[in-house]
Amino acid sequence: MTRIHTKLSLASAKSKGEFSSIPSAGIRLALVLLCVTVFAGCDTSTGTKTAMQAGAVSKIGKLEVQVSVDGDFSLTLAGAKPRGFKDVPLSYVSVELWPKSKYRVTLVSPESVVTGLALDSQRAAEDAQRAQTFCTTVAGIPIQSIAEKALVDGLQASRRFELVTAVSGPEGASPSGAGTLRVRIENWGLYADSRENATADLVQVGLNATAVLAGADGKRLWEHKDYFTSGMHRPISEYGSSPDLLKSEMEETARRYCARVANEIRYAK
Amino acid sequence: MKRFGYSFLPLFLLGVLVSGCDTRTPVAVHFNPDGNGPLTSIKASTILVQVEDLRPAAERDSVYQIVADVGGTQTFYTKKPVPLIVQDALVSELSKCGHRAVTDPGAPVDARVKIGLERFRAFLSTTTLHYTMEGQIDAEISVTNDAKKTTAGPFRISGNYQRKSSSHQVYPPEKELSAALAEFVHNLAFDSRFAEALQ
Repeated sequence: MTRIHTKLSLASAKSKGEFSSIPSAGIRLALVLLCVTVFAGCDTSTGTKTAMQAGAVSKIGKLEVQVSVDGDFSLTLAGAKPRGFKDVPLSYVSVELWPKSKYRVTLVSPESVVTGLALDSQRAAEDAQRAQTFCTTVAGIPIQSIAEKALVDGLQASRRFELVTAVSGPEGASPSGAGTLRVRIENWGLYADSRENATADLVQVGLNATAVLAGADGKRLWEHKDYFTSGMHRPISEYGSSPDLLKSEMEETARRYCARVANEIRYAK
Repeated sequence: MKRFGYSFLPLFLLGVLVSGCDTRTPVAVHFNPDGNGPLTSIKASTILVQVEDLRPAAERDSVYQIVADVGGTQTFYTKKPVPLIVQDALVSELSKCGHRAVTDPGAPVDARVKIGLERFRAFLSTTTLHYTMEGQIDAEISVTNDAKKTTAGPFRISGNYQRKSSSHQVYPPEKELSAALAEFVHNLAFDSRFAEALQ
């Protein structure tokens, strides 16, 4: 890792008459001012979910559930390898605008970005190639209909809504005046075991999904992104030799994820 | 004298750079039980909560670490042992949901919850435009129901919280770890596998 972390107190330097000794100080100051202008107050917090607006949820009488699945079975093994400082040479030059200021600017070297993108691309290609061999065996898993049924059943059982139905159609306010729960499964399949002591071929079934609950006016009341896994770690060869095992675990994981989403809505307060 | 001063300064700076400056800063992780969710709907029972520390040895000494290129290291640690932080958080959540949570393995209980704690750590990552401070908690959960003679799991539960910032001041990751812990306990409490195993 090549990282140069240099803090220069320009104000301090200026007060001591040392400004001329700092190379390109004028350019750096201009950069700092530009970035402060652009990013001042750019200090955001993002969790994996937004808080449920329970009051608005309780006003929903009828709820329409829509589930979409972006792609086929996916395999994430090489792509799950962490791309950290060891992989990417980062070069930083950080300039402090004034002592104890919260505003600073960081410049990242272009080669670090290029190297990182190349590594990601190479690893994604490795995974896509391995996933192809699995696609034929798991083609029959109806992940969309399983998730849809589990959500409708779970939400209907919660008795929070008068009626819960499954629908399909474009995103937006429901023409029938009902609230909508849209679950988008971005990818699903087998993922590398992320445990520290995991061996290279241990995988688990999982999915990445986003659930969005909207009111009758289309306004978002809740959003939840999740990486949901079965927790059962098995050698990848075990799934390869037993398509039924993969199918049953995948279906169970989808159902469990939907039960979790239904619980979030059911117990919203 | 002036000449001596000029020659001494680089030597002094070199000494600082070589020796570095290692500091250890305590981090307070807070948790407020929610007392909501599926756990409030199941029959009140006595539940044993145990946490096994499965974190890598390198992560047990500190929950966040910054290694500066000049040789210094700033290490952040919790005064209370991390497994105890997680255990107390779940105990307080179960208690607020109406259950009797215990930590004594010898006590008669209805169910036993075992948390295999794999990660409890804050991370700093960078992109071209911003820094991201992230709190991450990962654990494998297994539940043994003594009454029904069944065991559920292990299944994985995680808690994560990210905070993006354009500034990169170094500060204790209290907010990130506290939020990740809240998310972890929430995700566990709302997981249907957990509630069903305790029933």
